[in-house]
Amino acid sequence: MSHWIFDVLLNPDAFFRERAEKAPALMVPFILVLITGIIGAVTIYLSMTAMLPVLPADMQGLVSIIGIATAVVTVISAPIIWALQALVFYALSSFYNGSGDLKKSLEAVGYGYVPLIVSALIALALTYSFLSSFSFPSIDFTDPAATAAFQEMIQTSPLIQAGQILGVIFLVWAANIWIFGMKYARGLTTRDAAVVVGVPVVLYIVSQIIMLGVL
Amino acid sequence: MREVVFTGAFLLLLLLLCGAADAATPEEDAAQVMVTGAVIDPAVLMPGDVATVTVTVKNTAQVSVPVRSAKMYTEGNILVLDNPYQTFGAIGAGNEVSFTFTVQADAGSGTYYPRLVLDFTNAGSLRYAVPVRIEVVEPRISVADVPDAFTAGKKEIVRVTVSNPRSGEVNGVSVVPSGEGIVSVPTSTFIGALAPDGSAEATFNITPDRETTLTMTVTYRNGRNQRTTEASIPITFSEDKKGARIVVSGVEVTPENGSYRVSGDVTNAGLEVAKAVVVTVGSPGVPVDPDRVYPVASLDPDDLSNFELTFRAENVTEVPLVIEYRDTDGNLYTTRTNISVEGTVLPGQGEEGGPVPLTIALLIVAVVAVVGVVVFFSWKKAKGG
Repeated sequence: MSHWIFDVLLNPDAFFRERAEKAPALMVPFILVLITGIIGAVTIYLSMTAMLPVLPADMQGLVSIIGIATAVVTVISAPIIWALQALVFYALSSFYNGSGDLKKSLEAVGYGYVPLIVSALIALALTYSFLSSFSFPSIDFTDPAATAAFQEMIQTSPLIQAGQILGVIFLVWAANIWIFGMKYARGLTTRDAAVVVGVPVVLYIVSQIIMLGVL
Repeated sequence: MREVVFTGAFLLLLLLLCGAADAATPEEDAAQVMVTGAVIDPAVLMPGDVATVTVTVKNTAQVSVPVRSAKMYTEGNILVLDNPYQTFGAIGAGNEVSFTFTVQADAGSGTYYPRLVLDFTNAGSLRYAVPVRIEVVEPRISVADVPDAFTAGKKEIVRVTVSNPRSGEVNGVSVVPSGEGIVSVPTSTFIGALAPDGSAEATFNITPDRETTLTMTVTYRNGRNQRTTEASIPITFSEDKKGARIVVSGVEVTPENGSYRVSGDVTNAGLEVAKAVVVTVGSPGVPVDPDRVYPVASLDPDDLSNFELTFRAENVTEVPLVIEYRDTDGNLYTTRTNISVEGTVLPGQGEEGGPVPLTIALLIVAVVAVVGVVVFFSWKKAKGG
């Protein structure tokens, strides 16, 4: 028998069909979500502290504190987003007469975070690579134009853009898992589950593409 | 009786003397006229010079000597330009008379003898050869001091020596520097008289604005003859060995907010101070705020200062760094050093902002392929299940 992670990634239908007969267990999904949040927090903290040397001395302490706070908020918000995501899928599945415990939806969505962990690790690697090669300019952060230009400079970096593109691709992978997860968690047909998961995910992806400046 | 005899003898002697005087012939009287001196001005002529020859004669006879004429005759290449004494009266007993003639040298170096002829009425004539010297040699001008190198617009000291190798004095000597594109301070120097074998020095501040020839013209008088002689000093520009020399080092170019920031050090590797040093970027670079130009304080020899500039540049691999500075006389100098902006690309121009690099693109394609295959097979298995 293969490891359950490979089943989740490669054969989610079989994995969730097997899990449907068992009582919901949220520990593993929670850990997966928490790992994703921690990796994201590390990425954000790295980004914020990397620009400390170019900031004025009086701002460095403040930005350092903000970096820590943002990292903590990222870790804390990961389970919250997980719960909200499950609630959205749960609510949407109600339109298709979905039945099943919310915990089952939470469990299904949580397992879908496996590709997102890989995505977060790649994003961390790309961010670290970008920060290692990027020379931060000395700009006046009180100048909105200079700050905007600085943000644009970072956002248009190929490494950062690649991280965002890969994030979308891994999100598609995660959505594929969520479809089969919601199928068995809420007793939906594959098509209904694809709609329940696909609509919010596609909306999210479109918003990401807009942010990338493609549309 | 004795007194009578003495007085008679005395009277007899007087009579004898008077008789003797009365007995001198005109030729004998004329023979008493002699030349006492001859003066030539200038003392030594140059070819073409006009001079005056003054001959002084004295009548040492007891009686007046009649002179019909006093003439000077051309001898060789000494031309007599006038003869004002075609007729003359007489030279009184014991008197001196000067005869002045104008002559011109029409020959090379040598001594010539034009003749003065005094024609005594019915008593022959007096002939006297006046020695007149001619020397071809002119006063000489030699360069005593010039700088090792001239630079456009930079004031340099040029010192010349004027010497007089002639046997005679020259007067009214002055030195006038001239040349195209040359400014001289002072515009001329007056030396005055130069004795034989004498010399004098003249100093000028010369500022050339192009490569040219500096001509030092010496004007002088030899008697009443105005003459010039000149010497040429070629002025060619070359690197000033002693001047300030600005060297740029430690240049770092970093992209910044759509433009570039360049920083580095400027060092004065020369031997003189560089004042009012200003660093900026030349075309095709476009200086932008906040550091369009970077003024550096005066740099002493071996002194160093850093600089920072911000500029824009598009579609170029290097831009010139322009350093302007002045010397202690205020002359402006400009040096250029190219700095490379290749490999320091701005967002939108390459690695940090342009199209996704190939390796990253391949990574994305690979991930898309993997995810596509995984999704495809997961759905296939689901249908099969």
